[in-house]
Amino acid sequence: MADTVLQARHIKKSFVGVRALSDANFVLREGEVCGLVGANGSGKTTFARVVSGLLRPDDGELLLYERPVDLRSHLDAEQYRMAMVHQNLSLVPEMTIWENIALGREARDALGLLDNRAAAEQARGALATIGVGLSVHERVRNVSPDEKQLIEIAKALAKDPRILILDEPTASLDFHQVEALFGAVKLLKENGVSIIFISHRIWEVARICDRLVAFRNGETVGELDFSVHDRDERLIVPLITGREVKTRIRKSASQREREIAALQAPAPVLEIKSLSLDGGRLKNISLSLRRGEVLGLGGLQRQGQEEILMILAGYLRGFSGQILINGSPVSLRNTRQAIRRGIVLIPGDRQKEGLFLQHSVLTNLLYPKVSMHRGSFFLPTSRYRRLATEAIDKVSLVPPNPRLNVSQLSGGNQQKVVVGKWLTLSPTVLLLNDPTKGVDVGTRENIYEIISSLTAQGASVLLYASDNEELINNCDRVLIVFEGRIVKEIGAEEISEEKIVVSSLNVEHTGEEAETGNTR
Amino acid sequence: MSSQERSLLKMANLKSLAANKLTIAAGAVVLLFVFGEIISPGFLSFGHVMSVLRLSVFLGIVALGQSLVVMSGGEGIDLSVGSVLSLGVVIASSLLEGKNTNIPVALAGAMGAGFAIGMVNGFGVAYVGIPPLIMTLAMASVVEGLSLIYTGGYPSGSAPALLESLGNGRIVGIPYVVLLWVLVIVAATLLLFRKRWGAVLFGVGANSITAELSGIDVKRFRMLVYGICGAITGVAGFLVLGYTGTPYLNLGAPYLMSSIAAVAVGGISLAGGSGSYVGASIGCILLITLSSILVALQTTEAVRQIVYGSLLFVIVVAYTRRRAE
Amino acid sequence: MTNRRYLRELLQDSSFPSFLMLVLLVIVNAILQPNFFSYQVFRINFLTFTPLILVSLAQATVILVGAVDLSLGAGISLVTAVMASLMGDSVLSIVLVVLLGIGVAVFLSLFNGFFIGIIGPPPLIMTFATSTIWFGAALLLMPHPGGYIPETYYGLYTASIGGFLPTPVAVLIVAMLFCLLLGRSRAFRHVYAVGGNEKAARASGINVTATKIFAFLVSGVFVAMAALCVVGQTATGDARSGQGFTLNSVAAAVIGGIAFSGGKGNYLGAAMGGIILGLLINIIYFANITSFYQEFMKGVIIIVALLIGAVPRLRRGATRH
Repeated sequence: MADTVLQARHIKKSFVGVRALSDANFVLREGEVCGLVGANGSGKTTFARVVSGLLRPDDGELLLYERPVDLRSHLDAEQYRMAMVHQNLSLVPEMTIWENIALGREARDALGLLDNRAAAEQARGALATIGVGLSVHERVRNVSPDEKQLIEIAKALAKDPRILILDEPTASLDFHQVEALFGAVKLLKENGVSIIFISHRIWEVARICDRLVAFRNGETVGELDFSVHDRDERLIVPLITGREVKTRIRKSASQREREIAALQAPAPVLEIKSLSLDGGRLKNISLSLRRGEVLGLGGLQRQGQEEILMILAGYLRGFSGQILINGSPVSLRNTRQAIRRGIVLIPGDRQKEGLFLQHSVLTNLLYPKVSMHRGSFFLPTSRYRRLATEAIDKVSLVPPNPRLNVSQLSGGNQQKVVVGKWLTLSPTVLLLNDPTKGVDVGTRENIYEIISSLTAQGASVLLYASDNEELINNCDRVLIVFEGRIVKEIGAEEISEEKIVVSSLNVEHTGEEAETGNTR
Repeated sequence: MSSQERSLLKMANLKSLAANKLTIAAGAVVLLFVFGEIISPGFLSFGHVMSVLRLSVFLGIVALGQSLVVMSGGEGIDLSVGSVLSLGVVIASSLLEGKNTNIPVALAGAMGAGFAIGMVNGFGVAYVGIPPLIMTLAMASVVEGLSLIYTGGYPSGSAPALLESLGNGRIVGIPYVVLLWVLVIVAATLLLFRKRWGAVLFGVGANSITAELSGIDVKRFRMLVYGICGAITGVAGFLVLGYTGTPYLNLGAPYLMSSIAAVAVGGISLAGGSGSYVGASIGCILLITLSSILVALQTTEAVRQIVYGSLLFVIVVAYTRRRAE
Repeated sequence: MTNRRYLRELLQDSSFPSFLMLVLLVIVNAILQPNFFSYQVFRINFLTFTPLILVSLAQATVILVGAVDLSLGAGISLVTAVMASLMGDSVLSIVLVVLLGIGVAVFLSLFNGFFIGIIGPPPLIMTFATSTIWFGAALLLMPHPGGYIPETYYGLYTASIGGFLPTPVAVLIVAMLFCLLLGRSRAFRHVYAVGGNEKAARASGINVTATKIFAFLVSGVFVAMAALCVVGQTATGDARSGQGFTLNSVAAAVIGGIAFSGGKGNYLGAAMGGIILGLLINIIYFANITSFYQEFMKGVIIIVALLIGAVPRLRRGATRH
């Protein structure tokens, strides 16, 4: 049996009045990939931070290479050749990729001055391992979010670690990039590197990990060894939620068709005709969205899906083409016009685009309502407070306290606030930009339940998800976007992982004359 | 409520520690007044307290504009308020020519000029993307020049009797301007906390992208905030003229840094998105009281500067809460 | 790097707009001032410009790390007051007082740096507070402009080394060498990181506090050099001598391409920004603009300069709201 490289025994950690970890146990052996799963607030992120030296435990033992250690900082952890990959937290936008990868460990020459050439070389090597095809001299601010995530991983790899902690490494990646990452992981395994793989994407954990450990309410509640058990999600989910797998009663395609047909009006609720965006990011997009329908936008990353959503939300300018609502053309020159017509956007980055972190749940939930308010001289505070309480209820916010500051909520609950604030306006079209990125299983279910109930009442949804599972499980139709164009429409009966993947790569059209060029 | 929720709520109540900044500042004012009485008997007399308050009013009005700009976020600050106030003084006085009948025109003139300058500031900051510190700094030079050009170096006109009595008169011992200030404080607080505009402002200051996605035209809103600040400062100039009676050049210079200090002392975060005008008002009173004490002590300007700076230094450092990693 | 990338990087460099402005201003100055390219005028211009250029370098360093220092001007005033009240005729006295002046300048900057780095108050207000204190201290030492600076000292400043290199230019050359050295140092790379994204820098293992203090230390060195030049130029101690420097240095740095948010820009740009500001003041003087319009024009021109600097950024974000 391989050596134990890391062992955590009965780790306890509390913050001001919050018990994050009550009894965390973990074992990692040499050359293995061990998954760490759990809901938001289960303590797995806290645990990762304790193990990587960012936090010091209140009690318990941590052993590295079978020797007890006391880590005072993440630099200490790096002395033990342990590296942790952050979620886009450690890149400086104005600096180049190689400068970022070398940050904190800059190579120096004989005089003690910086040796830029050596640093750039090392960076090139690290990028190649992950399969990123960018020049190391590119500035990070010009790089897309998913590539940034890969650069973060490259940065950790450049430290040549023996123990690697990956915290949600695939959150923004499409399947293409995930494959490349898994390839790198396998390579690292062969070189004897041990990896802790923390993720909400259970199917990926089931694929790549040798074992997994599940956390719930701050303690280790179970383990699965895939050399013994099947790689089956249905074994994993109960460990996370503590409940039996509640397979959401997914309606059959024909039943959905009947439901949607029942809601129909003469014209589709939303139509786009020949939409093109400056710079070629979108070329001649046309689609129509029916009442009560969930229309998915799929495909590889950065093919224009986000741009479609932003234009409909009134946030992007510089486009040509027609947008029709209920059959009549409208102009969506700014967000106010869009919201007035009931079109609302749940953005991709909740902290940067969806929340006021310094304000309370109440303030956050009421802001769109306040923004669209007209009429009374003063704000109707009691009526609005009631609206907020209703919204809290509808999204099952935990804890359901409107006076709490949103920064103290878990990621999943923060996302609930982002969704909940639009419920006060009774939207007709919801634009969702990867709404469950970095969100746990339980919250994911919550959010899709809300969406179901909204569509049942006649609202329509345009959903972009980087994760194909999500598209398959929730959409009535999926449009695949490739290089700014819609290349395929997949109907309800034929939605499958394979179909989505094949269309995303646009392989069916390789023979066709394609108007290629700079799509970025 | 579980124990976890209870503790989270306790943390939320700690947030009202920010309200404690106001209590600290208010307490400091009281202490200063007591100290003042000790070193200069009569300091705490009703008449003197009212005089100090009256002086605070003019700074207070300037601080209102400054507060709004700071709260609007994006590192908002207005370094042109000093010169805008000076401009307001000379424009108002030249339009008044000592006649009561010219009061509306003069007020409109001062306010209008301030508003126009503020809008230029706002345009540069919101639409062009010039950092507020630098934009308003450069405009300060421009406006200073405008004052000179407008007056040809010799400010003309004077305040009419009505305005002078507003600036200097009292009713039951309370100066008119102090009563005016109370109204302003009440109105400003209502605006910030009970009206849509105030709620929108806090959002724009806290996170402009989130605000934009919620239907706010952030650029136009921020530009208007600078415009309003300019207008308010122009009005302050108009009132200051009422106090002094005759115009001087550069009357506004001392108000600039004091307004920023008052905003900081009043607990308004320089990053934007939160705060209250009541805090800034207390800050104004604190600063004016301190100046008053230093004058009463017959200190030289050198000592005054050192004490003023040291106090500000101590307050700023004390207010900074190091957030745990 | 390929040649094409070199060219692209050059054109997109933050200091490129200021370079263009500089060329334009040199041309305008040459037109207005007949002997602009003569040695005499060159010498006199640098006598006047050098302190501002040095202070711009100081301010640039502080802005790069993500802060701002509004006490630079008052700091210079205080150093001039100290030096003018202590300096005597003997060489020993001159040397000692010069060393003291350097020490005071560095101390003042480090004072700000320690508090901003360790405790973390907003730099704007913090340095405004200290500027008031320094100003008061300077007034205490020197209620009216005066003091004594021996001819040996200011003569040295106004002279030319080897008959052709004006002392101020020599000082600038030393400063530029210092900048080049800094550019290859790890601590300075960390300054860019901390200014660019403080959280990222911390997560990468950089000691953010030490880096901030380092930035203020470097700034102090430039301030020291500037103060020595001011004393050499005016031969007096004056509590108000530094007043214009603070805000001019911020404008110069930003015009020179230093991003106010931090982490972007370079010393070359900042230096050019200082020269640009100096030339602007020159133009206003030589264009026979009446004194009433001078402040006005200076402000307008700075705004125009900022607008020009903002164009590349605007073009990049054209389709976004």
